[in-house]
Amino acid sequence: MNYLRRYRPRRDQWASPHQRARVLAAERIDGFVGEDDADWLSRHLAECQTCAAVAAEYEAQQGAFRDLAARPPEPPRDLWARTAAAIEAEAARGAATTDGGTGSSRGSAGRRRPARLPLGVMSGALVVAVVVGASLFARGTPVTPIQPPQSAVPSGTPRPTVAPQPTPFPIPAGAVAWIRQGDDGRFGLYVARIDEVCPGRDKAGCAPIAETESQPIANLDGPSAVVLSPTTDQLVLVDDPGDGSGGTVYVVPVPAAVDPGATPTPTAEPTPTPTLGPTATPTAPPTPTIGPSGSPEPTPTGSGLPSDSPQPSPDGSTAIASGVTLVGDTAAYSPDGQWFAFSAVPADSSHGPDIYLWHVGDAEALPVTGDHRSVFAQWLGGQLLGSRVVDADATPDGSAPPSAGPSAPSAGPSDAPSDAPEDLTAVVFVVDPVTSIETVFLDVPLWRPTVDPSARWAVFWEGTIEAAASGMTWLPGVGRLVLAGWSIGIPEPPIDPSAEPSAEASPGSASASASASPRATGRATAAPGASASRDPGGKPSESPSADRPEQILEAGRIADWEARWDPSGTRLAVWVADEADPTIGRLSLYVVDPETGRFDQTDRLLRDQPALAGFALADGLLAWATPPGQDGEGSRIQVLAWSGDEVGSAETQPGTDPVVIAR
Amino acid sequence: MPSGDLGVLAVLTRSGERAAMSAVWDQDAAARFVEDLFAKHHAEIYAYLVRMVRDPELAADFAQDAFVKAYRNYDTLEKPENARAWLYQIAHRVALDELRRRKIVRFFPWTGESRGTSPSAEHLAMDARLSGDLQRALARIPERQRAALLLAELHDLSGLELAQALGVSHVAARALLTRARESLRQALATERAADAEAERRRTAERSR
Repeated sequence: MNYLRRYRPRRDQWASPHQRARVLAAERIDGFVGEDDADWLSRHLAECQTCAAVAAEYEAQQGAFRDLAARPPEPPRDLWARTAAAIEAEAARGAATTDGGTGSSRGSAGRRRPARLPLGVMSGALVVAVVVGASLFARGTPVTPIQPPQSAVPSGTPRPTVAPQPTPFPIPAGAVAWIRQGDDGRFGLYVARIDEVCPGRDKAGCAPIAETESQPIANLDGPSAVVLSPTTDQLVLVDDPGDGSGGTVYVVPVPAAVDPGATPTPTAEPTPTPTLGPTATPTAPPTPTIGPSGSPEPTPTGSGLPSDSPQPSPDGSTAIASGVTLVGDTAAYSPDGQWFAFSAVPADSSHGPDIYLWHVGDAEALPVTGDHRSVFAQWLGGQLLGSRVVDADATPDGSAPPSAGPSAPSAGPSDAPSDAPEDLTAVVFVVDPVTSIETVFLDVPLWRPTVDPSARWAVFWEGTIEAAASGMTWLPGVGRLVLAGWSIGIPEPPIDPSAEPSAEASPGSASASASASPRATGRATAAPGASASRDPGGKPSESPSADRPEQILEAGRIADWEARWDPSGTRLAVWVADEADPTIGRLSLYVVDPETGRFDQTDRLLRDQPALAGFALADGLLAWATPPGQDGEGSRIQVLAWSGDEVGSAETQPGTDPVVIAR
Repeated sequence: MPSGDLGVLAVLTRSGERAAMSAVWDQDAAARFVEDLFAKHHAEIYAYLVRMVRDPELAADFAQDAFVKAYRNYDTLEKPENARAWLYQIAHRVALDELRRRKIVRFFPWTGESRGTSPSAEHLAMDARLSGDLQRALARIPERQRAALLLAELHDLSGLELAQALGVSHVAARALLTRARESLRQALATERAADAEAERRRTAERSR
């Protein structure tokens, strides 16, 4: 015990006798003080009331700790079961490190690798698949997700691709499209029509889905995600070389040849030309004032269609964003196909995520948020729905200091004050794509709601979210993914106070309405119903009741998730990422009663099927890609289809490379 | 169930066969060892982590991680009599690493009723405890200081164990503890001042 004396300042080195007395008083609690110092301390405390009060406070601490010690928290009952399972998984991993399975890694939070997100992770993937629902056959007709595919099925259906060996049954026509690397090393867009499947989930003896290359796509480094437009005449493709320089988001025209059932009926909606150019549309962008760090050089908006892209890019494509890493797998076209929204961070990790918006025909995507804490959730009623991390004590408009975002991993001095978890919460906001006006829609802390087509039910994360190891974005932490009532419906388009068409607004004039600026996040005027939604219980609607139940889809710690509704609102697909490798996860398909919002856990159409990030869900059709290594085979695309009470499935031949499916 | 494998480990250690054993890394022995550790210490490890991170669910995750790491690093424990402090050290690092690596956003509505844990009495009691001045004050002080105080005051770690658990020298551990007491004293004063101010406002509103 006396070794402390060697390190403590000598008596004549203390700044003051009071400082010495306080240190000694603290040390005395733990029995660190020798006799000489104890005597000196006693004398000092007898003379100095202030120091005596401090010493008394130290002693009072012990009493408080005793009270605390008398009430130890009870560990959860399943702690051993979880721990044993994690150890077993650890042992299995050690025994078979080459196993490419998706075993649980719940015990590996310390090795969690959440920095790379599903949409931008598969830079090394050689195959990217796009699974397209029946809407692919509705070429020429603006298709909204709610539109039943049957009405769009052309009469002259091509030959089935699934051979009728094990008594297949017909389904409403759908199509599966994907991009993969051919034998010659170049990528191409492949399309397969699906109108017959084999009953049930048994595909043994069922002929594989035939694939036909429809369109070569040159100059791709590592396509990682593809989203087809509702009008099926273009797709957005994310290409990431995986070298840290970030990805590029391309818009690629899709030739009519892709559509095996094309019926090019002219429509009232202007259809963009297959070769996109910056001037393909006269509509001005919303003109956010903050550009993304690392965003592409502004493409000249002069006259004339560019004959070639500013940089090597896929044939006929336009790069609408570069130097970015997409966040999550929620990127989507608006229902009318005129807008495309996605979340991204700059490749240099200089700040957290923002939401970007691209208007069909524009030269580039532009950020509609500037707080670096926002992610896109979905399109709802023609408006963009987003989630944002805000300070818990921020004003209801959700504004928060951008610097508090996950711009970098916290790495302060070891004794720096800790970040109190309660300092942060979240809001849901909407952005009108036309005016860029943003309103806080839901000042209730839930994360990334996915609302059903009838706007009565929503899937959302309720729990904690955490900054990814990269510090670039936010990921779910511990909590639960729930399906609950959504009583606030669809946000009303905000009224532009300037009463001027925003399309006419220039960046300068936009400043007249502060809310048009991305930094002026959230106007004080909440959307109708939002105030009513301030439920202390935290539900997006009134408190759950018997007729507005809340059901848990997943609980505990998850790395990421993606939920989507089918157009009918009766099927809900939920993909949950594996913690060790968030590019792989489990995909389930729930049957939801649209009247009650209930689903039966025991009656899923698909249960925890291993699947790569990204899946496609259309009316009557769910498609995903299996992780490579399953059953000793490469990745393959699988399709689950249903019609009435019948359920069937089909799959492609296994490939040799991982597959990522996007919408 | 506990298998008492610590004894076997001790024999191996004393006889110098440790290196040979670690070379083959007996998974079964490691698993039995961790099972025994769990049976003896999981409640206190969990309690420590709850008090560090103030989140029962997160603490359960961290406790699980700590025991998995103990399993993984089974062959690094040189003296079985130090197993408890060694386990605290692992748990401490798990908590600190995670707290520093992540900014955690807490969504208040979540009651943590997942994984079979009851949301009722247990969590209500937890909430009550978390709401105390002491817990709030502990949350205000630096993490390492908080850890030192918790380990010394609530978990009765001796000076040597405290140093090992914190991964610092004895001198540093005690200096940390001394600083922690002063930090806590100031934080408690702040909490009480805030309480007093809140009460003053309530009184003023009632008198209007």
